[in-house]
Amino acid sequence: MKRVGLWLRAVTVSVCLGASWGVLAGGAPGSCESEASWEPSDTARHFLVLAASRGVFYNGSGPSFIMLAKTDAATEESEMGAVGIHADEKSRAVFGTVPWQTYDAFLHEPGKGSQNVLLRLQISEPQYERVLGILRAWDRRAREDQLLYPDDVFMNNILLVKQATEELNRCRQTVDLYRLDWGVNDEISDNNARSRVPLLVFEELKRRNASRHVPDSNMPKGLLSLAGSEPLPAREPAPTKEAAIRAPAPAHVHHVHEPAGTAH
Amino acid sequence: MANLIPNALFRTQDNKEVRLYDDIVKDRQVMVMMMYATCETFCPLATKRMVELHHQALAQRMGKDLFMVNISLKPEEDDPAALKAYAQMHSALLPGWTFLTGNQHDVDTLRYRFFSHDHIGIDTDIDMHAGSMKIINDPAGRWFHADAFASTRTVLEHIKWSDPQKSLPERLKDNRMLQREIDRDIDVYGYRKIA
Repeated sequence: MKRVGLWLRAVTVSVCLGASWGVLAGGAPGSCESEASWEPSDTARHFLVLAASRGVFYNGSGPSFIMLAKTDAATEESEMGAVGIHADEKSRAVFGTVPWQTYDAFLHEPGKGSQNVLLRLQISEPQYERVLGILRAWDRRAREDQLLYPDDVFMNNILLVKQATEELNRCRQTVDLYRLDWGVNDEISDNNARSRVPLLVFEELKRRNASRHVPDSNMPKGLLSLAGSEPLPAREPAPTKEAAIRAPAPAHVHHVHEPAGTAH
Repeated sequence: MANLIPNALFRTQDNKEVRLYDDIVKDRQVMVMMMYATCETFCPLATKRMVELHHQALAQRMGKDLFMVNISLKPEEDDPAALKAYAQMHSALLPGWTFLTGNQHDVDTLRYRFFSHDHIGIDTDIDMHAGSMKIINDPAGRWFHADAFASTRTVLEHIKWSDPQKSLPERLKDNRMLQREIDRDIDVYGYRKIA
């Protein structure tokens, strides 16, 4: 089976600068009509993976990200990628597209006693496409230095987690969500550091959606066997009008500034 | 200011393509608010408030040295025609007042940069942003936050804070006038003694 990276580098533009305004037409990708009329394929399967671990960064938290994977037995091709917090070479938390070496550790379920949390949900193609749109937008923000919270990588990750998980239920309830809104009932946010919130939300979502979790035994064998293999470059869609207008931005990483003298 | 404000492409209510920084903000004093055409709660109230303010106190300045821009929070729904209809409905097609729509990515960037409360719940609720206003003075490199629902006096005061700095003789004259008011109050009420 071949493995390619996710199309994260595509520019997500819903360009409203032409004459094509209006609510998404029925059946268009991203619309609820397309989800309602979607028929599962015999060969293609789509997964959303919520993954997090502990004890990697100086504050005890660890990488936490949203991962997408799809596999098609007919073409023997798999596509996967992730966006969120991961560790750079100095074990600092950075936000953006997660290197495959990091998310590879989450292709298989963590063993007993592991510090990792993994919730793997099988989703429909329209859900996959919508969450992919969110990941692309965040990847672009990270690259173009336009994060919505410029001074706090963990806030961006919390917002990504909120957007991606809530997107699953946009058209109909498919997962039992945790209300991540810093409201009076959001005890996870209330009682924990921002860096730990995604992990704890994933744990809570796993508890609530235990029956929806796809164990290794129900995963396509070809997908799991890809662990450790370097992905091929992602296919790039043709640039849009807006992409042509924007000058390419230099790659940029965001990291948490640690107090002076903090040992890693 | 150029590095804080995305110079993204937008369209006006007249379907004219503009760059947010280059064409709308650069070298100007601009009031920025967000709204969307189908909003039935805060947006119409905030627009009505600004129309009142325009007629009461800003008509002489609008379009000359003071500008107003309303940016759609739902650009995928609000085309230029929808914005124009909204502006007409609220009698807001006034000199110096522009309604803009663009793409969601740029609108979100702008919304978080201008109006973020650093709070996941509030920041993801677009209705929480209507009524909030940023007053930007690009040449002076200053911006101020104001609430459209505040009193006329308060909003005008915020606009004044962002006004270009006056010359020294003008400021001295203003100070003398203020001092006269203080002296008059003291004559009438005396010094307030604090225990």
